[in-house]
Amino acid sequence: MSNPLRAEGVVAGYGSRDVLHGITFDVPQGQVTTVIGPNGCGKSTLLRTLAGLLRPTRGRVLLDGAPVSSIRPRHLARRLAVLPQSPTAPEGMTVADLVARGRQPHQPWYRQWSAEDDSIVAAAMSATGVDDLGDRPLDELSGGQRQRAWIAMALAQDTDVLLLDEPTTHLDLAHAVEVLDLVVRLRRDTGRTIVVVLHDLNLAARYSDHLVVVDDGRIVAQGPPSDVVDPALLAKVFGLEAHVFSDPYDALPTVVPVRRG
Amino acid sequence: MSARRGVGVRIGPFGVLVRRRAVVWTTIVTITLLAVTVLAVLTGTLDLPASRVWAALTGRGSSVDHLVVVDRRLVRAVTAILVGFVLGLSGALTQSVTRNPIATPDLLGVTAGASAAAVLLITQPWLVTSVTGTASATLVAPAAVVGGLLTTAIIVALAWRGGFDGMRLILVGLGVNAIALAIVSWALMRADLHSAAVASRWLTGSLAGVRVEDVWMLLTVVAVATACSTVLSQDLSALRLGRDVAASLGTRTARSEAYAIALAVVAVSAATAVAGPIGFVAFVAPQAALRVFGTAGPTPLTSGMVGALVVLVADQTAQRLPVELPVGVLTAVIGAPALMFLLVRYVRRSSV
Repeated sequence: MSNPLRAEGVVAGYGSRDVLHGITFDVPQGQVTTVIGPNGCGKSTLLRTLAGLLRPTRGRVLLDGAPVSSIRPRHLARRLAVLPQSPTAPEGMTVADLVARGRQPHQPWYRQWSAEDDSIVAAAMSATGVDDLGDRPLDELSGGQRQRAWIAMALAQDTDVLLLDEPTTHLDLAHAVEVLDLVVRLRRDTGRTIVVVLHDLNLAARYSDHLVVVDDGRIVAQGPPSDVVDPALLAKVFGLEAHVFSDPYDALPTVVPVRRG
Repeated sequence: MSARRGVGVRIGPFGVLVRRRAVVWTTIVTITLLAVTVLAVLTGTLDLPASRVWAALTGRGSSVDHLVVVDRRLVRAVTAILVGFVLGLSGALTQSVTRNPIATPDLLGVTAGASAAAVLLITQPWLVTSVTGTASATLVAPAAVVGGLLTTAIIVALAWRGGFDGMRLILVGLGVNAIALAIVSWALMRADLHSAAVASRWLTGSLAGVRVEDVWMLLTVVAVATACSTVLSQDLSALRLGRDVAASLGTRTARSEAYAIALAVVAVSAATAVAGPIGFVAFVAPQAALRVFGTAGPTPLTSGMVGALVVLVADQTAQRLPVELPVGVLTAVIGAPALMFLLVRYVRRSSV
């Protein structure tokens, strides 16, 4: 099993401030990998670096063995899609127009439409359940619907690797679950390799095949959720005193904070 | 799905999605432009029958008729269309790149910089004549272009951080705008009465004195700007979704932003050189266009069409008022309330 995406000794940050201090890890093929960690630990920076949006100051990111920084942006966008945190669309933009943007890496400037593009856009919209919302402006949708529309755009890029930065931010639990169910379904139905940044530990444990715990720009633990999430880790990384139970339905780790006072 | 968004058309390697609403409005705007142009050529302060106008247009009229119909009326109407197109297109470029309707060349100091250079030349001609020995009147247009480019260089140097941050660009632009306007005021204060009057007239933006050569120059600018905007259109659409999303779609963001800004500035400077600073068109036209054409963000060509319509109608109206006004006064009357409307809404949206 070859792993499509790999970070090698990555040091990265903004200006002269390093946020990541040497990260090496493999993103497992065809799985949902979730990056968790306390606020400001470098989760999003790690995702941006994996996506080629941020250049590492040292080390490198490899996509199928080739350094991401050496791949032309347009070609990279055909193989790896990334959805930044809380993206915004112009006022009045419709769902169908947004999803169609995802075809851009495949279109030369003189051919901004083709029948093939149309069918891929339609497939992306039906996979994310926004096919009935095509004519609706994004600003009229619920947070969960809007997020699914953005994911549909990334799907329309037709890539093997999909990176999502905090896709559940600002969503209530029901909408967050709606988005994460979609992520798991995409992995199952399309075999895509998916990396997600999340801040909710319970959701991360429930929806991931592989967990990566980042603290202060370093990976402190990784593996299947049931191996990774335990009280000692939560205390050390998050400064959180909590019980961890195995839930009676799926036997997945469940974090219950200890109430003090 | 395409049936709802529009009809896809493939011709050889080319492919485009044709939207009903865009076709309808393009037709309406084009017909209106033609109608107003015909009206502009047929009517005016000098009462000429249609037969004499036609004779003048086909080159069979008297030299006086030719002067009135072709050199005055037709050239002025066509220049209004071209200047308006350039202003609307440039505004759409800068608004797309910054994702902010307030970030247009006329509000961010580019036009003011061009004005400052032109006014300095008009009121302090020794600045140039002492160096070149040529009469300064012929140098007003080139000076405006140089002033616009120089101002942009200053704004970009202060605001560029590996790309444009919308808010930063606006704050720097407003500051530069204020400085340029201060230079204009200073120059007007120091000027003698005659040159101050000339400068003031130029400053409000006027199409009264345009010549045939201006039309050829502007036609070139419009052709180049249209071609460049078409090639850039994909990247502009991506940039309207934000820098990160644009980059994730394979757009080289910094490069595309630099191209778009450079194109906008050169085009606006050329238009300003011909007509003076016609305010608010670059700001209003793209915002009107995106609402009329129903596009996701301001697209350069639709904005250009609306800009052409705004300047043409404003100039024809200005000519026919009891006291003839420069076109810039009329566009300001339309533009200022629109700016206030958008500002109020912008503040409301961002404070929720």
